Amino acid sequence: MVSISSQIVITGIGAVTPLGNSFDAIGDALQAGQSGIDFYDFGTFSRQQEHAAARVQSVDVETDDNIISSSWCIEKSSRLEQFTVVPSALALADAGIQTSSCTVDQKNRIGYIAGIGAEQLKDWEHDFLDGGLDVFHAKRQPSLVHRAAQILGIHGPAATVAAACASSGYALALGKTWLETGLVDACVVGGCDVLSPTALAAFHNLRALSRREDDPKKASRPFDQDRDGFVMGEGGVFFVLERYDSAFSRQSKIYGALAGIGMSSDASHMVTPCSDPVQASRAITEALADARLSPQDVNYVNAHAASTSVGDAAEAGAIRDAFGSVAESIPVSSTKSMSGHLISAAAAFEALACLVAIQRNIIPPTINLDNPDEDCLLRHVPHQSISLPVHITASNSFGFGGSNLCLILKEAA
Amino acid sequence: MNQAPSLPANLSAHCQIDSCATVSAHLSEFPTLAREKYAHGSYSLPTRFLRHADEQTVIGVRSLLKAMASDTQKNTDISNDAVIAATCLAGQPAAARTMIGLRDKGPVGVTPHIVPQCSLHSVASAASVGFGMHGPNFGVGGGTHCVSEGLLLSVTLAPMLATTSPTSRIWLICTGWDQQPSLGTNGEATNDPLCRGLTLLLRPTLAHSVDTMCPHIHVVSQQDFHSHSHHPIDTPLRQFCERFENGDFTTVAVSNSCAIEILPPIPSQDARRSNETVAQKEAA
Repeated sequence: MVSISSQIVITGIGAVTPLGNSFDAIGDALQAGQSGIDFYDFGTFSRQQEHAAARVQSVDVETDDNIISSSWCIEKSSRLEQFTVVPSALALADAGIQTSSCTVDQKNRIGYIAGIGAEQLKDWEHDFLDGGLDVFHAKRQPSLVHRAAQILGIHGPAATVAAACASSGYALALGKTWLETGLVDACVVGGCDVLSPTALAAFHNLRALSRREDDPKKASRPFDQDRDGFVMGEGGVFFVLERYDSAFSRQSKIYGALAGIGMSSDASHMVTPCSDPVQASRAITEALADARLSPQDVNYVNAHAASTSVGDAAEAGAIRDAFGSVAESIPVSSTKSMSGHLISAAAAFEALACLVAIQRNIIPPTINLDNPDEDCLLRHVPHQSISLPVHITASNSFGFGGSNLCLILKEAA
Repeated sequence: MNQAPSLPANLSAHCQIDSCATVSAHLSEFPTLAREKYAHGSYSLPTRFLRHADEQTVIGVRSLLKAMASDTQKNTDISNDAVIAATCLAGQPAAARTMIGLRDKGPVGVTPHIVPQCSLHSVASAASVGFGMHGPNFGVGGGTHCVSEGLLLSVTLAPMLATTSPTSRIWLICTGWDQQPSLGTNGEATNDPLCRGLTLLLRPTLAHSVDTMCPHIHVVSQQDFHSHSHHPIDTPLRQFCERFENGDFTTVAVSNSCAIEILPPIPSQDARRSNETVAQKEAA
């Protein structure tokens, strides 16, 4: 077993999502099997009159004045900036870290990693739709994570990472390496993404989005034989990671431990997941090895399963390959059936779902799973959450470009 | 927070530099460059692999191939290597064309390639897919601090990689424009800026076995880098390329508290001559 003192633990959570803006609200929605998806009109740039999507209803969240710089104005910020700054501030406050009260040395020892897949593209689009010309004469500036660090009083190292739909999971994984190498004492990690006309059109033109036009809440149906693509969502989810000894000495609340990480690449195609499960399976196996755990130790797998034909089946194969005969008994669900696909923020949201499972001893369901696909045979949890002891979870994330990631989250010792 | 924070001097993150290479090309050259054959030894890109790729992906792949050719560890298997790509404002010309398409034709005018080929992960993924590297692949940066971020994430990934896959190495690809393309409202370029690529091939090394006389890269704490002149966190890629081409020692800040020290390989006479030729051509 990994010694307790060297464990990396989660001491703060902040979120703005289609299912709510707090750990408890999101937990309630997941436990109740509630969908955050609806039809929305994206105006003149909509392909259809309305798109099924999972939108953040409001970022009107009370944040700590001791964390966010008074010069920052939420109303003047883009949604991408709001979805970065607000949940990051909430996570710091939740962890009891008031940056304005920290010493210079302490601020220098807080790191920040944001998983954002296409920040510049979103910025250019936001400006262009407002009548701007930034995309034609691009201005050089630090990326959002550095600007947000200034707003939040974080003076340690900061970075943006991107692995498409696994981006925020890579932020968590790399935050763990920063703590393990002694680079920082605390690290704010997570990711965010926003719905936009270009993104909706590009994914639609790739034939990756669901084209169901009946009930939007039925459109995201991972592992179901009638699935026809994913439903795009948006939001921001950030955590504070610390070493256990540091969190213990601060008497901080601990949500759980980030016990293991596994990363690999299919090296197969820029878009389509590889049908051979070997590399996705390797990410899961390496994450278990990093956590010094065996497949039978895992109580719940939060699947990446976005509701695409190829991706869900490939992941089911990877889970069966990595867990072997144990796969028949480990409950698996995809919370994207409720949250939609938060793209860059998806992996962080699903890590949060794993912490909900651990804290509440429940398995969130895959809603709309009426007829499980024969190519996706697993121990599914359809329609309704179930109560089970949950100590250790695995969360999978896969992205364009063949990026595979698995995070092992477990209850704190 | 800890009242007495531990110091980054304890960092266990080090990499030896097995190879480094720089390349550059003007915007006007990319239609031709994207159609070229990209191969070195047994490694080659599938035909037309780069036909939808962004300029920074093309230049990144070119620098990777050049680094492959000067790898000091000849005939090493790269199938489990990791790729990290640090890019600055990649995808701008394609984004402009996409915005024009959206405005003029609506959603049908948006190319589906914009997400896989012009996002922050695209350069790393193209290298991973193109050359069959199964280690982690991800993009870093996006803005003016991208090279610092790429160096830092490479070095801090190294200990984990050394544990899970001891023979794996990290290909750090840094790309960016000297000047951003200036585009008319029809998407056509009105300037011809230079795009650069720098690839470092890094071998994760345990702290106690680092040969400090060899080319290497590691994190140092603030108190240790006062003695050297160091570059700010937003140092342009051009300056890194020039220092690497000359084999100069470099220290670059990554935060208020730490920096990355880089001792690059001394370029061979041939490489120096080749770089000088490129510089002369560019000047002309």
